[in-house]
Amino acid sequence: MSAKTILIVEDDPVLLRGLKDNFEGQRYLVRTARDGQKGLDAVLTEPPDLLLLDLMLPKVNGYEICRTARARQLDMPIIMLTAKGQEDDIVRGLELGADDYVTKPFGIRELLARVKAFLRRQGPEAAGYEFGDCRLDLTAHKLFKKGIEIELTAKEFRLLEFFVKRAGRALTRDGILAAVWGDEVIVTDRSVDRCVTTLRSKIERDPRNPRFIQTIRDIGYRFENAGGH
Amino acid sequence: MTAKKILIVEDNPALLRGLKDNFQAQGYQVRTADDGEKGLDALLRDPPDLLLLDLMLPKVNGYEICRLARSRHLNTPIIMLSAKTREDDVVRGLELGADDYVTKPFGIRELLARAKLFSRRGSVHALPADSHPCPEPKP
Repeated sequence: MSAKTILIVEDDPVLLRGLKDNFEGQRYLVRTARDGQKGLDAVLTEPPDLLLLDLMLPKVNGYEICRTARARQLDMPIIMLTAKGQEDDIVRGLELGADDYVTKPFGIRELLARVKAFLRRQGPEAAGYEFGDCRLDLTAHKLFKKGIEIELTAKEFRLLEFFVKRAGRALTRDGILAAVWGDEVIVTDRSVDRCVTTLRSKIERDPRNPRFIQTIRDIGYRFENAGGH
Repeated sequence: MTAKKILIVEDNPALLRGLKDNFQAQGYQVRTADDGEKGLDALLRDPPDLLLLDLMLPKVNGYEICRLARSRHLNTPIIMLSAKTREDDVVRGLELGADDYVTKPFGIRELLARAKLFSRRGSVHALPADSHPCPEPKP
């Protein structure tokens, strides 16, 4: 099973380093951000499996990051880390969409155990997704339409996987490029559009009037799977 | 929407009464048990949507109830309630299968907020890892 990704947003460099080392020691894939704006960008561009979020951050505070993430229907567990331990603060954090609220100073073993409990409940990654006549099998790395395998390039598969895991969300071309193309040098927004066009020809009944991969003018795309399972 | 069913296992009668009243006032269907054996029976007979579980209970303690529930593949969310505040105790509870661990004394608003979270979680569309989502391709 692939390692779970944790994003840690914390402006205290010593604490951030300690958290990163401890979670990497438990074989998590760790990304970090040291201010709220970078943290929010990282959350929206490539949502992690779990978010560790300081509250008092430069530029954008943790409450706002949490609220924005939930407003975009991102449903990863969020654990707030803060020195604000009053019941009002805790309730506010939980009601804004955090899943847990840990007050500083905390023990690293407790935090690791809480993270593990959330990811356990989340369960292993889904084996596949269904939409319309199609089934995307993540284990076999194959796409079937009406039971017949449809050939996809590696890039088309990664793009489709990126879409189905984020059904219903607006996805920017930049975000798609960063997540699917990564550090490849010679890519442009048009690379996304071309790949979308070929994907549509393979999964859509009418590619000119797509049901699944919807264009959002001036922004990017949204994968729609209303009624699908 | 159907009311969420909650089982509270707690041997302190005053605390049990207070918890019951508060959760009922929030629209939960509340069942209670005042020792570990009754709690375990109630849990296994009719699993609730959420279990509030004291740790230090007569007959069967909360750790054991949690361990037994998970060994029987019950995935009911469990919030442990305990005066045991040492990190070792919290870690032990979470590693035995609890989803949250709240130390006494706690504020009722915080506990209600934490309980509410468990009705919000869930997933859609994804096929479970042990399913066989894709048919065999036709020859």
